[in-house]
Amino acid sequence: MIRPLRHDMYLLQVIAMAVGLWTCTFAIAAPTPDPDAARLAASLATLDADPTLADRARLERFKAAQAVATLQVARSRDRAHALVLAEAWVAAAQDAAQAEALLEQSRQLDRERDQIMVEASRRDAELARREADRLRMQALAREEEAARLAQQQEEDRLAAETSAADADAANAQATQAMKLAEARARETELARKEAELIAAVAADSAGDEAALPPSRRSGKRTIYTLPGSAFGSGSASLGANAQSSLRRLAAAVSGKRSVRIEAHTDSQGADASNLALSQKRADAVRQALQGAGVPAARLVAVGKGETDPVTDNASAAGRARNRRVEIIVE
Amino acid sequence: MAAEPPDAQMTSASLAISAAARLEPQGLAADLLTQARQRYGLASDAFGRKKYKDAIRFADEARAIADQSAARARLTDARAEVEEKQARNADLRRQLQMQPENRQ
Repeated sequence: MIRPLRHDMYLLQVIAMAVGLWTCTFAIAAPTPDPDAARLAASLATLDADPTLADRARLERFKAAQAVATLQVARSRDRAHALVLAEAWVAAAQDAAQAEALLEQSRQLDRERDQIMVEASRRDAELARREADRLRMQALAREEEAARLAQQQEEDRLAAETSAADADAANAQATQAMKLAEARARETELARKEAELIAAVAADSAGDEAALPPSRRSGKRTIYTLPGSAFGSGSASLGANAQSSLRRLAAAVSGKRSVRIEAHTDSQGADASNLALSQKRADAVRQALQGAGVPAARLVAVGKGETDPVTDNASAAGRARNRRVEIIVE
Repeated sequence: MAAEPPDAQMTSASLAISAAARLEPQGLAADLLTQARQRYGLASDAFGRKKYKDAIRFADEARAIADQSAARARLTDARAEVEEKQARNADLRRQLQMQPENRQ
């Protein structure tokens, strides 16, 4: 730590003037210069010539000059004492001047330090501002990225929902199509059944209308005639309409005492086969009537072949009329 | 005519020595302070023996050497302080140069 030096310029000026007069007086009285005094005076002159030290340590420098002047005029018995004082004060003046210069340099270094700190603070502030800008940009980028991701997620979600909806719609459509197909199948089935029912009803109606085969009276007998179309060609199987007619006929002849069944063919084919076919057809009618409730004992089935035509077999119409089954009821 | 006791010179020398001692001098300054104290001791002896002229001589020398010791101590302190501050400023400059803004 450097202690502050006292300066009393006014006092220095007064003392300097007094010392100057005092020195001049003794210089006149003792013209021979003291070598040590000369050496020390030269040191002071050097100190004065130094521009960095010239105006520093004035008090010490004044004391040094005073001591040198005293040395120059000192008597021999006082010279050692005066030399000690002069040496000490000159050295003190030199050290004090240099210390003041260094103190000034120290203050300059403090100012320099302050400037460095100001510059450092400015740079810190600039760096902080840049860092803040960087962080702000990062935050902005993150926000934009988050928004983009959110939008992407929303688009993905909507796409997924759309796909799911499409899938659901497809499934629903498929289900609907399947149901429609099933409905159509049911409709078709129902239509088919309806058609069958209608056909059955129509058949029944037809059967009702032809419930009894065409008949004619011959004395006490009633002769019912089944056309040849009641059977398939060359077959002894009765058609549905014929069976229905026979069920009605069975009801009609339930109280009769005798039912004779005579089957006839046209002249086409061999006689024997026609006879056999007619017998089979007569038996078929008998079984149908028996099945419808006519007692078997009252039933007689006879196949007559082509032996008893009702008309000429030369034409198709004639042959059709000749192919017949007559049920003779008494 | 008996001389007056040099109380003022003794006091001045004592104060100068005390002031120099408070600077805690090292090296040459410490040696000078030792010399000053020795001179002051001689002054005190002379003062005790009422040899006031000798007391004045030693007291003046003690004061001058004590002031020289103080000046040297201040110079030493100033040099150390300047060197310290120069080093400090250089370190600050290095730190400033090492900041990210100045890195290549």
